[in-house]
Amino acid sequence: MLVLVFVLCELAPASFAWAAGEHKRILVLYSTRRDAEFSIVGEDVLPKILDAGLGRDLDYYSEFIDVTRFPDPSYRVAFDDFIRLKYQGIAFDLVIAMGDVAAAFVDTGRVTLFQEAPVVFLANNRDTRVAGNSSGFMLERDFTGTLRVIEQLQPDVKNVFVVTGAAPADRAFERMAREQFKPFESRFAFTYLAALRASALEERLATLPEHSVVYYVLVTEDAAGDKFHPLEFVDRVTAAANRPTYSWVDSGVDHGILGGDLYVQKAAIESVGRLALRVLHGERADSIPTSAIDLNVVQVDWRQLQRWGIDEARVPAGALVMFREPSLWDRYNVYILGAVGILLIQSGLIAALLVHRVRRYRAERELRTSQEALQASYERLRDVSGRLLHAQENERARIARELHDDISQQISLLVIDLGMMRGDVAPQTQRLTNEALSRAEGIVRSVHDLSHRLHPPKLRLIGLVAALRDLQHEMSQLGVPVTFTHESVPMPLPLELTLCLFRVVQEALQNAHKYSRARHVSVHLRGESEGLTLTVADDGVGFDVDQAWGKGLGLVSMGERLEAVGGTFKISSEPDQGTKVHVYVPLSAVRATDTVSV
Amino acid sequence: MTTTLPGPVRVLLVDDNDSMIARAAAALTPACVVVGTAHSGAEALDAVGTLRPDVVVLDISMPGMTGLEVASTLRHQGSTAAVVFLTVHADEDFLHAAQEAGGTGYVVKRRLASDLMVAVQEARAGRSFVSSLS
Repeated sequence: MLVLVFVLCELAPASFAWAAGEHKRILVLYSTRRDAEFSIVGEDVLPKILDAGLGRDLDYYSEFIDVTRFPDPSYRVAFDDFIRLKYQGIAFDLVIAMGDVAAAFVDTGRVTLFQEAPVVFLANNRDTRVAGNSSGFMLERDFTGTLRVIEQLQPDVKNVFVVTGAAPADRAFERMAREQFKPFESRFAFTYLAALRASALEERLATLPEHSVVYYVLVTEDAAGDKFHPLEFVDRVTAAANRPTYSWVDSGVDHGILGGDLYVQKAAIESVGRLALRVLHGERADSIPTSAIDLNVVQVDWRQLQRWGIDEARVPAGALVMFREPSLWDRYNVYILGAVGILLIQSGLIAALLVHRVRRYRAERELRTSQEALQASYERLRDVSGRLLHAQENERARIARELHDDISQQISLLVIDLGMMRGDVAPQTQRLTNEALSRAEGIVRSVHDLSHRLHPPKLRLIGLVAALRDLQHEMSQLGVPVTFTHESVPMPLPLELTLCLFRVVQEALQNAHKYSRARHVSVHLRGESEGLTLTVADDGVGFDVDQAWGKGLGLVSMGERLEAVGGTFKISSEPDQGTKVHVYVPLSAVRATDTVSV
Repeated sequence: MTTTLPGPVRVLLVDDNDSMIARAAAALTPACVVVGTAHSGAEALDAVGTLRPDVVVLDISMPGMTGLEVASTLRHQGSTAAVVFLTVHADEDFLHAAQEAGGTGYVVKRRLASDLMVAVQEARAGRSFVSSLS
């Protein structure tokens, strides 16, 4: 590689010398003042492009012909002298003329100032020419593109107020605009707010009618002769106007204009820069034909769309939307998505909880319903079993009464009749009569016993104590001695009560005999002020009370009989500890409807 | 309290069974005069008031008021009529209850033929007669 470079150096000493150290001297002449937006962008962009294209070998000079502020012809002469003196002895490798004024300056100074230097220019006027070795771009100002943008963004606009200034340059722009707007006069009514005092202009702009827009062309000086930086004036226009302001050049963007089909200064400067590099790299300028370029781009300021309430959907396709503020969504979409996600999850949880609650409520309601149904069936069952007991008791009483009142009476009559016959019959039938008599008496006793077991007549006719005494005798005859004691038992007792207590004692004694294998049972009945207590205690083997319910010990029927008269009972029993039944019945609580007929 | 009055004993028969009343009347006639019959306790109380019998032959088991209650009521009303119970109950408890109620005689129905006349006449004389309960 090194060898190759060395050989090349030997063969081409001149080009090697240029590549190694010879500086390219470049002068850029602007038609705008130093602080004009175009100048600022140019001074920023051009040196960078040239530097990048040439390496470090760049001597860069720039000058600004401020004819806008200094329109006097003597300024031009003085500027000419200044340039000549300043750059005498310097042979420029390239002169760049930015704008028509600079191009004209170079063209007229060609003989004295820049005889040899190739020239690259950017012209706005198609008549602009630079003599000699030159090339350039024709960039015609097109103010009409913005009118088409206005049509698209605000279809209802009828009036266009065109703002221009009093300086010669301003007037030149105004003429251009008037010329270009002519074809649009059928579409828009143009009002030229030309060369007014700044304050008067501001007043006009503040009171524009509906369906109007402002078209800012150029103001560098007003009618009072006050000079302005064009961008400073844009700020004043857009601040004062009560309608949107459009323009034709991109320098107005970010100074309050809504937008337009805008001339992009930077793009034009870059084009010039690239053309300059071609020439600096050896192409002859006059071998490159001067050409027209169109670098306009439709641009809108998003903030102004919002300010004037213009739907962003109206912005033409391909347009550049500047300064779009990120929406809340753009800024916080992660958080919003997160929050929405959390909300959804929460909602889901809440919904699930609600569903669960509804289900639970239903289940509880069903449970309540079935409990009520169960309770109702239990009540019915108890009612039925109460009625059953009652019916059984009534039926027993009825049969007992039949036995006693009818059969027993009949047999008694039979016995009486047989007794009467005995004296009258023949001796041979005497024995038969006696046998019939004793058989009939036997039947009387049997019927009496049966009647007694079914429903002891003593209960009604004599009372509880006598009836219990009979039970005591019966039990004792079965081999289980029974002690029966009573105290303060009131007479007479309600039949319902006597029957209930009688049956309870009967049941308890049967249990003591059948299950407890008791050797002795004691029954005690005591009258108290409000009721009766009954105790039946045995010394038998006892039993597990909880397991005995419903197992034939008659505990259920005991309970139901007592409940029917408002009584209570308690059984205490443990294996080998005997059994004690405690009963209490109130005297007041016998229900009139539950009477048993005897 | 009771005095022996001339003439046949005036008897009121109280039983809800007509056949029994007929047997009783047959057993008492002609030594006694059956002045009336009643089929319930209430009728008996009325009849005692109007007929003024010497002896009331009273069944114990009757629908409604029992014979025992009728006897107690008569005693409380100050009736001078003697009461002879005529009952199917050959039972000590009934006997005691009958005596407590103011009964003078106690005849078991199946011994009616042999015992009733005796019991009525003994009652008229202020003496007690009780049938064998066996």
